[in-house]
Amino acid sequence: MTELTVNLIMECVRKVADREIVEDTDIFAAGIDSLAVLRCRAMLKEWTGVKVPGHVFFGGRTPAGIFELIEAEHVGC
Amino acid sequence: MLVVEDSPLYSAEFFAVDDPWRYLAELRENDPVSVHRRADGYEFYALTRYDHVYAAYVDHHRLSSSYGTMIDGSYLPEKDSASGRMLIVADEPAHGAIKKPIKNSGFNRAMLARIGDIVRRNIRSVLAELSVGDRLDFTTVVAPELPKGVLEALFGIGPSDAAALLEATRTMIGYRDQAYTGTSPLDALVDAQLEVLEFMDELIDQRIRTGTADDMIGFLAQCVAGGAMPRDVALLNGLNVAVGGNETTPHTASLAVATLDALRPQWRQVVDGEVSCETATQELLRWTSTNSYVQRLAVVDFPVGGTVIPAGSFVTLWNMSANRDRLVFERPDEFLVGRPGNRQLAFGAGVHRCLGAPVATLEIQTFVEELAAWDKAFAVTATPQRLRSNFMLGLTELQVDVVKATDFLE
Repeated sequence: MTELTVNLIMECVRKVADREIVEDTDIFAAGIDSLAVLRCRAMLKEWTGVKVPGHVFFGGRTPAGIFELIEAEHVGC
Repeated sequence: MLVVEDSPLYSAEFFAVDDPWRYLAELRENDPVSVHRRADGYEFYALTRYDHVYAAYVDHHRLSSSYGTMIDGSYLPEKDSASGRMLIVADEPAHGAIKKPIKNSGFNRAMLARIGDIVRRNIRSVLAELSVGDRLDFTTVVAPELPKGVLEALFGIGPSDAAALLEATRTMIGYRDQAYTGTSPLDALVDAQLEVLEFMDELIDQRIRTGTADDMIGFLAQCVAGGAMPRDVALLNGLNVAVGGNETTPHTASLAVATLDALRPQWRQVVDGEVSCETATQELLRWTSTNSYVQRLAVVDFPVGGTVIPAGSFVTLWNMSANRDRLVFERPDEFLVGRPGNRQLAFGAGVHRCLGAPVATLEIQTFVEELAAWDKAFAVTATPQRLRSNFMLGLTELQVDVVKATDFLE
């Protein structure tokens, strides 16, 4: 299992959205919806073993923001 | 035309504690087509008369469902993100193409019979556990039994999975009501929605593996496996069916119990067989109008009631108001259990008429039948707590005593 990082979040959003994503891309403006969040979450779970709650994606909005919320909420600890 | 600034029709609080029926009755009488604004600039037209609401329902070409069927469902000019892929927010021809497999697999005659059997079994078993003198909250103990059986049949799942699914959809729809979500409503909504989607996703995987297709989700899984339906479409519509089924009939049942408690002589007519359970069910559907309104977007000018609603406007169709229209219903503001020729509009009309209407009607009628045959009854002991929502009319708490049927009807 890999450790969850901003890079991994960007990587999975990139795969699901099929476009370039950087740390401060608003993933919802980039076309991510609930179903895409479902896919991202499944991918992160597979890579890291961490199940990221849905509201963290919607609250964080960008890979950096999502990572910050994960740290703040100690998700998966 | 009447323009209402800061309209109470936006306010969940108004629907929970005030009298929206009376407010809508005044609109229907004096301003059947009116405009309602909110401080943030949101604006919709409200249709309150039966004939106008009906005309709007059947005009699905001019009035689109793609922009969300609830106020705030999405913002102009953006469509709902599920637009065109989920029944409730799809227009023709996509809507018809999605509806067909769902209707044929989930709501065919054999499935209806199976659902009816499970729902009756569930209601019987919950009523059989109750004794005279028991005190309970009807909304949590009995009401969820109605859709639970439907979920079991459509999704081929057991009672405990069905109960978990119910809990999640309840959080989604009632997310503005603290009774369901605690203090972080939007987070709860988002998490619950993902939970339901994930549940559907796993079911579809499992059904693709096993190949069993004798229920709705199994059939949709085969459509996905065969390439006839994208997986996202199957997921979204599984969600649509679950929410549509779960968050309506329990409220109708709770409101029915509260209504009949106050009108016991009318309930006696049902118990004595003078009025059929079928007829009583239709009046309960009219009277409760669980889904209060739906929203559309006029994609071209829409003429109604001597005025023209301009293209680009949101239009709301108030079922609850249509169902009290004196031009269609005699003594509209009275509950008349034996009301003949009931043309209630609780399920809407036209191509978007509630797909689950036959199932919902079956659930309520089965409940009425079992209640009428029961040797006990529910006597309301406290003022019911209404759901904080302008979209769903329901109860979050209904305290009742279990009493002898003969005492109840005395």
